[in-house]
Amino acid sequence: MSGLGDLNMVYSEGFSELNRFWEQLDAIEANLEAQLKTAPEHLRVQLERVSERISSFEPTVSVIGQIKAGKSTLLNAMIGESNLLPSDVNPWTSVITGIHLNSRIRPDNTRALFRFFDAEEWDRLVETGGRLGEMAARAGFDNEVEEVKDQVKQMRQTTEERLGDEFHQLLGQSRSFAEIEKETLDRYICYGDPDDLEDGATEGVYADLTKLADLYIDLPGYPRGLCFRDTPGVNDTFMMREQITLNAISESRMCIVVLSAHQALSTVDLALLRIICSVESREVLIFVNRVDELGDLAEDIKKIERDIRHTLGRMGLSERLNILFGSGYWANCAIDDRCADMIANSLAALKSLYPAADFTDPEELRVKAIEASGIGALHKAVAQQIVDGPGKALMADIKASLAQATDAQDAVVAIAASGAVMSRGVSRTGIKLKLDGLKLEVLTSFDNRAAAERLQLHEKMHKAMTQFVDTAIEALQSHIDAFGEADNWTHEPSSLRMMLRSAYSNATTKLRRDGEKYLDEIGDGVHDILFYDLNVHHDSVSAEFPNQSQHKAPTALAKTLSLDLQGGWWRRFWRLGGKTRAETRYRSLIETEVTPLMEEVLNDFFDEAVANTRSIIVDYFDDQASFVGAIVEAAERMPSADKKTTRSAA
Amino acid sequence: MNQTLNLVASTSASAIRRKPRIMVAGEFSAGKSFLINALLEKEVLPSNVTSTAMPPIWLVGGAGGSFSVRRDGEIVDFDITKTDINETAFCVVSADSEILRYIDIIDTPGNSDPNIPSEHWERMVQYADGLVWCTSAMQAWKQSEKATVADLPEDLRAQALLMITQADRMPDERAAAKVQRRVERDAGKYFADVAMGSMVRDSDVRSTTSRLIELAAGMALRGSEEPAVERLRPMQPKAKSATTLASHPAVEPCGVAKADATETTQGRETDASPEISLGLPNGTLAAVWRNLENNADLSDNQAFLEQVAALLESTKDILSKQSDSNAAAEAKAD
Repeated sequence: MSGLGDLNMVYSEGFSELNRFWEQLDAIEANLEAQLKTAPEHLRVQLERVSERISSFEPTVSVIGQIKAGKSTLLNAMIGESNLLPSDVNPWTSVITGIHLNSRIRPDNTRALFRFFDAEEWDRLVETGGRLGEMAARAGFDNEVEEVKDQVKQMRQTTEERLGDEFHQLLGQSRSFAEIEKETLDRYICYGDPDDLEDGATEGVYADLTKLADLYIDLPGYPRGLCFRDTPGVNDTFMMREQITLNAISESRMCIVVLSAHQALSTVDLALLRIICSVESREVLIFVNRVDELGDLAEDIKKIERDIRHTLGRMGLSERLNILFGSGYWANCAIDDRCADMIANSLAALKSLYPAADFTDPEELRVKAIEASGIGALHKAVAQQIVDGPGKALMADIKASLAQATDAQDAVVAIAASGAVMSRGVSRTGIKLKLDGLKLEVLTSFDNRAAAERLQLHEKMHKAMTQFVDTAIEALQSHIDAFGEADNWTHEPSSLRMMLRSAYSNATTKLRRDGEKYLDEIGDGVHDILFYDLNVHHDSVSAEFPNQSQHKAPTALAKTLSLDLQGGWWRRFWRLGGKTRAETRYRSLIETEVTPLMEEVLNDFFDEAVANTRSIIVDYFDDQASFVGAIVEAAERMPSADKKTTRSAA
Repeated sequence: MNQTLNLVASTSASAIRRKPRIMVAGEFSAGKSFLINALLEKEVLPSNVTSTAMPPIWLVGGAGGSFSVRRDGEIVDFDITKTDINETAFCVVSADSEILRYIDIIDTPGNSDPNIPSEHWERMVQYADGLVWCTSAMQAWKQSEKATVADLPEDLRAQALLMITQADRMPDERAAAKVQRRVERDAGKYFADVAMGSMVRDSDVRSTTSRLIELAAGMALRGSEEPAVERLRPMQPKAKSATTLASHPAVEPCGVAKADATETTQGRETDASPEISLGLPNGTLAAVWRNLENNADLSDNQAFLEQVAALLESTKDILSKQSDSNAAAEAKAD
């Protein structure tokens, strides 16, 4: 599409750390494949699992931020394809678009894949008016309910009209394309400008219905298995898009929060950061985009950075966050080699950065535009964070798995050579029964424990909610005492979120500890079987609980609570009645708001974490069982007197 | 002391239609200060890429001096370097600008700034008659703005202009038009008018100025009285004829002092401009005011003006007598 030429060097350089990491993985994978050819049966499953983990490793980086922060433009710049994602002066991005670079899991014959809402999702969306409509209904603001419903109804009508019969065929389906074409993207992932649509343009015809888009692009020099996700901006007046974005965040270990330089870090950005930073700060990067629009560039950047750090610190967020500055626009000008047509202000800003440079030389201008765009630094930061975060965790897990496999293999070989001896009265079936018993015991115990922890989490969240209502009402009381009922009053819901979140993270930490404990129990059980039944003295490498995260960040908590819609909601709320009435209404409003949220945390996040932990326990058990099986086999092959006795006993 | 001031305010300054006050609000870095400086034709306010922790600033015409009103009500000297946003309710700053002859402008700290609670600008809503809500063309009209504006009093929104600022940063005319169309579609119903412009363009500054003056002319004065600000006006350099309101800054927009009384009474019915020119002595106006206070329909500008005209007509005799005696008094003083 576009030719970076020599500039490509600048680009791939940023990813070198990640590319090196992939080389390591490749080496391990090649080695594994060789081993798999000769591996004994009992190791096959385990090795295949490792191999599968490598090939499916695709770190995802979500690009999030407010509308018009320049997310699509920045992403285009990051992949060196200035025209890939449509961008416009108005915020029309409506769909999460995953850009899979050099993917190994690309479906056959597919470069672009679009998935649509299914009938149920669509109906829920249009009937209740989506989340905002639900909230408004709960809070009893009928005007808002109507407004949102109207908004949605109108959307439904235009969509259904425009698509005609096609509409029902599309629900719940997906469409794939063998090539990526600009026209296709315009139709699926971007709302069109209603003014253009009236003229019969086809931009955005499917956008209302599209839930997810996946694009597969092969770019030399770029890392393998890396996925960038473009998201609809938050703080859009069309709030249905917000929910889409929040879903994306929970599935990404890494986020680039894009701020627009001219209004860096507003309350909305901060709310967004609060949510994602709560996970693990090293996974968040801030990119202050559109610096080319600043007046006094060098000075302004310093001021903005100071300001952001100050605010982050004041709000109790990590000040260590990596903050980068740049301009996707500059990079795209360079990519397209159209620096000469750069907007005058942007060009002036660029010149102010390089007073000594000779910008009559187009190549120099291009190089400087790339350099100042900050994209290289962004690549580097992203690469570093992947390697240090999910990369490191994956590597540790692979190494632990391989160490275990090698250890088991060595043990089997050694035992085969020296001679394992089944104890009197022990049989293959007997050992199998014992193993099954161990598995049942461990899993039952784990399930009980997980259920207890779930209950505890639920109780804690409920307590947090009650506590929040109490403090809020207390605060309200003193506000009324001081200012009377007419005045404004708001109560920040972030403390509620914080409490819910910490309850969740406590629960998942416990879950992890449980997991570790049960791996040890399995190890002990297996050790006993080896020792008493097979007369083998073998201390397995201690069981390692995987480093990779088993739980998703609870982004459900990020959803706009009606409490957050500070504007009028609060005030009108209090105007509706006297204090006692307000108190009762408030309590029940929070309950109706928070209860589904808690349920979501339990059902979609905690339960998934439990399931993941359980499957780790099961996998570990299966590995150990194969190991024991291999030793039993070795023992059976052993022409020892003892074995004969066992056989005859059996 | 305060009581005397109140008395002065109620018998003189507010006795005629006071200047409409236009509040300028919006999220931080939306170009509010830039817009105001352009309208004032001088750098009165600092503007900044990062947030500016400044209290609301009530700009009035003339050179009457400036002061700060603390949140506890105390009035202190205005010193921008020592103004603490958390202790100050607002500052009153006088500036000698053409536009301030017609309106007061109230500058407010940016909304959605994590370091400045919104109450700092919200407290000015009570004083405002009209509103200019600034939104940057680059990120125009966000949900956080919509939620805030939707909650403003309806009578204020009815006299509000949505100003899409920083139009010069749009890549081209077509793009600018696209943004304007979208914003008009999404936000139009919350405002009396939607405009787009760039305050680096003189023509846009001029058109915005006249748009505001026009808006102000037909404006119902919904804002509540603020004695502290009115205090400033009588503190104008003591006019030669202390008894004539003509020299009072509150009536200055009218072009005033030597204006012809008959011309104004006629002009006001047909012309919507706030030009009122009266050479009225205090006592007379107070009488007119008391009458108006009981009977006037302030929500309907036209009706109000008609009433004023009728009242003035009926007090013509008193007027001429009064001005005669004034002339005599002045002659004596000289």
